[in-house]
Amino acid sequence: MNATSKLALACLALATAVVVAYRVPSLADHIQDDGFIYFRIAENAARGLGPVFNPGERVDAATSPVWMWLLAVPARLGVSLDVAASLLGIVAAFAAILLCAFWALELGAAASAAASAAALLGALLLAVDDRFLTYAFSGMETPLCALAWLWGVRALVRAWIQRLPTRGAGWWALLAALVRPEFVLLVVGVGLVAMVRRSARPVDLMRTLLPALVVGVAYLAAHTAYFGSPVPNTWYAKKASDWAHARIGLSYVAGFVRGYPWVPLILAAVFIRSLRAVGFAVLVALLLFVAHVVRLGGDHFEFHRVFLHVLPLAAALLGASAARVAAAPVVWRGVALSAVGLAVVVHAGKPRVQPRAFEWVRHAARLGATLAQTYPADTRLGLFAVGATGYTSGLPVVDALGIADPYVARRDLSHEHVCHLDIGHERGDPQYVLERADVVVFFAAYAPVRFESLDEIRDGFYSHKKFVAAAKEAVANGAFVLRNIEFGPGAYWAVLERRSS
Amino acid sequence: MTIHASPRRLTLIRALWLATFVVLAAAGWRLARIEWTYRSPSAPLRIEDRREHRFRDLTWSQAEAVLNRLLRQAYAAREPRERALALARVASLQRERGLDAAANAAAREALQLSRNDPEVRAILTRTLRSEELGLRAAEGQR
Repeated sequence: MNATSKLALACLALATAVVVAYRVPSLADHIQDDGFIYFRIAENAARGLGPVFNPGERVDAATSPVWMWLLAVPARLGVSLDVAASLLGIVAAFAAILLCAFWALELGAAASAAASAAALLGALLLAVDDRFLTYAFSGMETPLCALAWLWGVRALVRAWIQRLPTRGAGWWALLAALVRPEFVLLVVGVGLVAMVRRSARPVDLMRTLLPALVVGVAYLAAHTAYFGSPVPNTWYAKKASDWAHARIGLSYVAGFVRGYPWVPLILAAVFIRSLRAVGFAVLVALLLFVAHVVRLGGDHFEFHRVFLHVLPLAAALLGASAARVAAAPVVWRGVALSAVGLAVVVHAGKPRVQPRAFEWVRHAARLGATLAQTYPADTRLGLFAVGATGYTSGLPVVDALGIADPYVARRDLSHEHVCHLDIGHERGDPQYVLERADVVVFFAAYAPVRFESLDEIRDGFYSHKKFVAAAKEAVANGAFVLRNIEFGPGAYWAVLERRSS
Repeated sequence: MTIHASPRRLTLIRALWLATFVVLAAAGWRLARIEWTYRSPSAPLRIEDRREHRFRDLTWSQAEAVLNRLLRQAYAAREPRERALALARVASLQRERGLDAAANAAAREALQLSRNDPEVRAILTRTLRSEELGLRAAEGQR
């Protein structure tokens, strides 16, 4: 890397650090419900109870084992997990942005100041976008995944497409797959392009991957031995494969492109001769991933979270393309690039995270603390959002949506009503929950007044709607009663409480 | 090809990295001082009325955005009939969300403004169509 590129990278690093520091007060305290799921599992692991949500129940509710074990370390040391997870998130997001810029400078072979500045475009888009940064404070693995996947793809592209000396590409791929297993799709994508373009033979691919495959298979065997299944429970809970989901998935992808309008610009890479091979490899890998997301029907989380995992990859390709365009001594290209670059940066920099974002999660956490004081330690909670309430209550949980429950996770999908709000949270069995839980917390059923009847509890997820119908029957036959839990002054949450016999 | 940096540029690059780590450390320090409202019982609670949690297939904030837009239309209307139509839409929306008191208040005001208007009455007796809700709401947090 030349001196100009090093200077550009250092400038970007400082600018990103300033943005992060500036945004800490507004984005911190935004732990999302799934972040709290990791917290509970990590604390159980740190206490020697195993990497499980409910001690004694061997269910893998953590999609990312690497993130969970990373959190288990501060948990073991007694560090508060909200701070630790946010710090790790900041470091991962910062590193992902820098790596994105670094790879763009590398691929773009930026020699001039203009080309170096243009190469930073993708990384800058990530740095100014609060949708990307807010996940650093979510308690979830998103920024770590973005970093690990970018690192893994870069290693594979260097080894298989560019034929550059690369150490440990297979190991990086394994690590990326342990951060989130869908990385396998990106490996397949890059491998396919390498074989089609004959930049690597199948034997080369195997040579890269074999050690990692051996360890990966050993990991899966150990996972199966411990949990009874090679894949996390979340895979069962969220899997879908039908036209209704695919249609929602397609609309999810369209929404992503509308929300991040710079993304289609990465197609420019295949029109630039020097980037064509890398561009094809990254694009095919991304296409496989997009197809997987479409099949599932998209994702439930805000800001197209599932695509944030691959956003730095796209941003690196955009930066590299911009650098190649800027390197050409053609005035109109430089002017067009500046105009487009400015427009997309301004668009990405629009504030989108609202000041009261994810407030229901904070309320759910306060509710958990109140429930822990209200009920005995062996009370089983039935929850539709297991994270925050589950973590702060510390009580055993029946997961009504199946993320942490293997029985519910394997129920058939409801085909009566499929919509984007429910994606990944569609399974349920009201009777199962009513038989096992002593107290069932209705989903986001809080108000500044007491709930007088179950009619005031509106639909949350569709399976919650079905549960409310079953709950009415349970109240009518006297097995359960509606109760209001005052989890703050003048703040009430409706729960269903089993009548003591 | 590696182009070596001049000593002055090298110093500048090092200074930038040093500043970066100082700023990141400051970010960490700020983070450590944040008050996590979920674990501080004294932190004030702002409780929305989530008895009407889900409206059709919209997120909470999308539904709120629709309501606020309809209310803005009502208050920006210059003609009584225009305001009555907007308020009738508010009433229809609130009734569908299960907020009967709010729905009745909006309906009463709409009828006061334009009691005999058949369109106002029609809106009050039916649910709103998607295009009346202006769906394509911006992303929001639940």
